[in-house]
Amino acid sequence: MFSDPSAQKSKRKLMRSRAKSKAQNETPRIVVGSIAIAVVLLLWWLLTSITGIVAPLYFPSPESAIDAFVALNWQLGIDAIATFRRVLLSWALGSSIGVLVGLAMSRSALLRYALAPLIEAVRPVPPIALIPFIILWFGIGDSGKVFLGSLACFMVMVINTLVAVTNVPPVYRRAGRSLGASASRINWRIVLPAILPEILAGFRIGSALAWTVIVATEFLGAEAGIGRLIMQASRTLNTPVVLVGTVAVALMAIVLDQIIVHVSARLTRWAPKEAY
Amino acid sequence: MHQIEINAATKSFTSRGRDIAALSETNLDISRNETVCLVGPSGCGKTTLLNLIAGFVFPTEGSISVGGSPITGPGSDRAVVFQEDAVFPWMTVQENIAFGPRSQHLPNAIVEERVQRFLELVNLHDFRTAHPKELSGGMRKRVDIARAYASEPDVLLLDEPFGALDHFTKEEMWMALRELKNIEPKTILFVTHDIEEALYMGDRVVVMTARPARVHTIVEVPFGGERSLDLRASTTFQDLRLSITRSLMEVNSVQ
Repeated sequence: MFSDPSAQKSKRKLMRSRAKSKAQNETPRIVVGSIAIAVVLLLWWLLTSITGIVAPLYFPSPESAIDAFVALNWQLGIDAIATFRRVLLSWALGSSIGVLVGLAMSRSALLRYALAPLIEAVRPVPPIALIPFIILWFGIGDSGKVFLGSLACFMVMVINTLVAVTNVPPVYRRAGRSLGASASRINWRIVLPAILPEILAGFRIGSALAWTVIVATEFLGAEAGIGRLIMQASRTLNTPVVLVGTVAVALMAIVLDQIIVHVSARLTRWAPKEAY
Repeated sequence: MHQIEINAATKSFTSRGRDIAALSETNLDISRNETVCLVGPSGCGKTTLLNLIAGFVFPTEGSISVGGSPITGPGSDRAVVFQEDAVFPWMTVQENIAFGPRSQHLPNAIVEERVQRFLELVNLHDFRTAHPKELSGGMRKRVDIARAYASEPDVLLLDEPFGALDHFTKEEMWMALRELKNIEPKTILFVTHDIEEALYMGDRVVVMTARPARVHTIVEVPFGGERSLDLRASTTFQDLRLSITRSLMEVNSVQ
């Protein structure tokens, strides 16, 4: 029954494709990417240190950036940790509340009718525009910054979750019901896994947004944080420190993003198309 | 008593303020372990009838009962194999097949036994830990059928299950489903638009009219339980195909 010689063949093909898909296409990507980065670094060095076409005030040379990095010493670490902590906290808080509220709204029409207009009204406002209010309400301490960062992530995830639930093909729910699954089993074993890829993609967008919002709030005042470091240095036209701070934010953002990407890839190995 | 009894079932939908009748006073009785194939013009309401029996929608008028009791909603006594790809992509093959038995809170030993049995029957034992994306369309359909069988329903509802497959895979699936039917007899309602498929699978072929659908003619298929692909060379097969084609042409011209 269902006997087919092709089964053995496709079994072998399956094993091979599993082993190959990882190694394939990786090498040229890494090589070309590394070359591009090397070229940009070389250009930077040529334009600033060697030829002096770009004045140090407009863009610092690699040497002066390294000097600034060494001179900052512990300070950079303290500021970086302060910023990373705020981003992580607001991202985790805002995203999880966003997903929960999104799921609740997808279940209850009453909640949807009540919250949707409020969310739609607040959503288009750039979070940064709320900074004056946040300072009035919370002062320049941590709580205001984390609140604003969370709000940004919340807005992304609430809409993302609602859309993801709507996008679940109805046939999955119907299949579940005709196989005798209870409503809660359908939610846990069908709806949640089905929306997972979209949720994880939302987490990525949210984390990028959290960096923007947190660094911006730090510009306007903080005891510690990369945003404060950059703003202080820019007031004294200390561009090497500005650059070091910017690179620090970029590196931290890449690390967080890559963690999310890797966890996502692991969680959604089943997904038909490559999401990332 | 028949396994499925459809009494003057009517279904109309409201769309943009207008009532659209999909099914009109349909009567049909299906006996236990009988396979009935529904053919008819596309969009005529065959799927509506299937959805009514599945319990996804309810009749506007008339009644439908399965196993003597009226339908109150979807249930594991009626498994559905859909036209679309409905295998859960986030579960492995064996997790998909286990979904029904686990939903019914059966003991682990029974779940395991069913998964093994139906993996063997659809010849997917080597692929039990694979995810659906690693399988071909035909293999995914086999998972879908195994999943439906594994919840051991009384009734199997198939909604153009092989519509998306190429012709050779389709023929393979006919033969395989026939064998499965012999080993594990079920009451089957099979919606299709393929007359050959209907003649290979059905004990009776029901030709439906254009929308609103009602039963036009019922054709008895006299080939018994063993049907090989050579069957289509026989004159009886040709005659039946011709008469069903004629009924369909008649039904279409009324539209």
